[in-house]
Amino acid sequence: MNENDIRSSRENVPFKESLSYTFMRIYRSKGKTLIVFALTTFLVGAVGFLAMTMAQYEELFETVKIKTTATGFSSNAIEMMSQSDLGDVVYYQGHMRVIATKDDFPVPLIVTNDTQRYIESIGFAGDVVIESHLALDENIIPNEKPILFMGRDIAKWLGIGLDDTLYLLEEEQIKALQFLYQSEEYLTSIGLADRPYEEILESIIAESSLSFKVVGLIQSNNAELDMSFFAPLHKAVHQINGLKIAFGEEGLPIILDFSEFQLLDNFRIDDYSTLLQEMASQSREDGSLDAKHFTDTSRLYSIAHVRDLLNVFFPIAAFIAIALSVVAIGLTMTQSIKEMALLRILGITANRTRTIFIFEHFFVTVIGTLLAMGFLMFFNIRLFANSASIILLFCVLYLFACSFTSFIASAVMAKKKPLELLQVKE
Amino acid sequence: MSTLILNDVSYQYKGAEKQTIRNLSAKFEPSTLYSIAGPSGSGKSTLLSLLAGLDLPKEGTIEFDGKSLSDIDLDLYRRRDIAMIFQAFHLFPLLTAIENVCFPMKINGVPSNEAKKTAKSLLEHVGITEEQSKRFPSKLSGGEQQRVAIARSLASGAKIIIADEPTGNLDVENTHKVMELLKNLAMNEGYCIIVVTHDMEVAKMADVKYRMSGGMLEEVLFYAHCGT
Repeated sequence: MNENDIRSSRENVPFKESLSYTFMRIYRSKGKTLIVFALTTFLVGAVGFLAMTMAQYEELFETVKIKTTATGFSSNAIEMMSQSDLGDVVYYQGHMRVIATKDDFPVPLIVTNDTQRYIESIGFAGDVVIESHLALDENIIPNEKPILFMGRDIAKWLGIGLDDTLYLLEEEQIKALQFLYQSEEYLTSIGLADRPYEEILESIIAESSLSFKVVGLIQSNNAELDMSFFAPLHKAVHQINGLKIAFGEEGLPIILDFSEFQLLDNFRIDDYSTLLQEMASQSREDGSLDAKHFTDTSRLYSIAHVRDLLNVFFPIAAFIAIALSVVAIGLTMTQSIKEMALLRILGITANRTRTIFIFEHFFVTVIGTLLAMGFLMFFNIRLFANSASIILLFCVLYLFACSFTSFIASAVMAKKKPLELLQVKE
Repeated sequence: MSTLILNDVSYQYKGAEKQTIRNLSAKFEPSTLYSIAGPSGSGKSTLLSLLAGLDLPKEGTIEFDGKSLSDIDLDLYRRRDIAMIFQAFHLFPLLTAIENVCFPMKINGVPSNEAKKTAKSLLEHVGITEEQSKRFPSKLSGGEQQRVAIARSLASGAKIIIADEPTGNLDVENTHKVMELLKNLAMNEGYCIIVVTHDMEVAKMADVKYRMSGGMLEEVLFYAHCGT
């Protein structure tokens, strides 16, 4: 043979040939490649699945709704809950009697933040029509004055319509006004005689009473509903609490028939419980409440318990997965001792020999990892997205550990003499 | 022409009490078949490592074509100037026979087509058929594998071949065939072939016979029929 035919190049080992040899190894050593590949896919998939389960429990923990219902809480409780960042005031209702000025007719004043719900709660099954210029959403209730919904019958009886103002006075104030109405002499003595009488009354009433803007009229064919007032309490409670009015004891908050709260932050359930206890103790001086029901929180605690267990177990599982892969790669590397020695004897540099084997394992583990992530995404893309950061962190650590293992193994083998390595039993 | 000259070479392993090779001087020239025989522990493997550029002597020099091995790129030296064949053949198990022979050429930058053509020629030269050349080593007999190994050693263009017990795993017939091949390469094609062996019958076939003992090499002029 012609020497020149063989020695056509004296360059260093072409990188292309090393790469070609590496991929050939991956393809032809099917058994070993498959083992590393399958192991990687399984381990990364299992740990990823665990991460997704953690995310699911985290989500479950945060979305469990803890609602508290109570009867006998006072209007102060509504204020306390509204001003805290622990809970939301979902619903409340109180039921009082108000004496309307016209013919002394008592009508119910229902304090509630959700008229529609109140109507449903009393079991009225007929049609209810609420005429309003506003959407029935307390979030857009005007802040400039308390608002009121009225039954259409009471509105008609009192001659009040939408957007009118309704004044509620206590009994003593009414008597005082009656006296004023009858005593022109008194008006003259206080310098108001030259003003129209109706104007005087209006200004006195406006100053000393609780006024509501009528924002809705209710028609239901239910006698009680159609003769009732409905008012959201918390918008006006600071005014009601300060007045001596017929529908509550002097100066005391209104006692609510029913109230419902919702915990906003499940992580602060203990603070929330403490606040509820405080609200209960402030509701009545004698501490009596008709009934108190707190939502069973055991489910939340169960979920938290599982979530905490998963948080502890995850790093252990991740460590085990990495350890198993490190061992597997170490074993496959030791099976390649003679091949590495042979490559060195044939003149491949130590660095290039190491690179071939490190790259081989890196490539297979990357493909296995990508496949595992593909499976996880296919299983539940939303949960995968929620736990993506922890899964990716694990994958990076995993790939680093595998690559580092093959690097160390090849470095250790490179230190030994190639002829000695050829004698080693695989 | 490729010549290996050892000048007062000594080697001692780390922690060893005595030198494995002591003041060894020898010359290995082209067109010659050398044999080195000796008992286990005599330093034969160490000598092979030094000749193959896998290690450097602690004392003395080894020169290849006038250049000391300590002054040249040893990876390049092993890639193109020297080749080894082994008792256990050590072919790449994942490559076919022809791919094994192509390998040294490809790592020397020879284009694939050219390498394949040359490999076919080399395999034919050592008596491997085209059908056998497409098989994986596990599907070849011991003798066939060793011949493929010889073809591979020729593929790099190296003119010095070191054979470590090349017939150790072969039967008598294949031993004879392999040794004839090596002898032919030395005599007719100018190769310098160094065979390390325990087999006296193999050692006798060499043009120059050495005996290694206690880390030293001495030339043996003839072997007695039953002696060592």
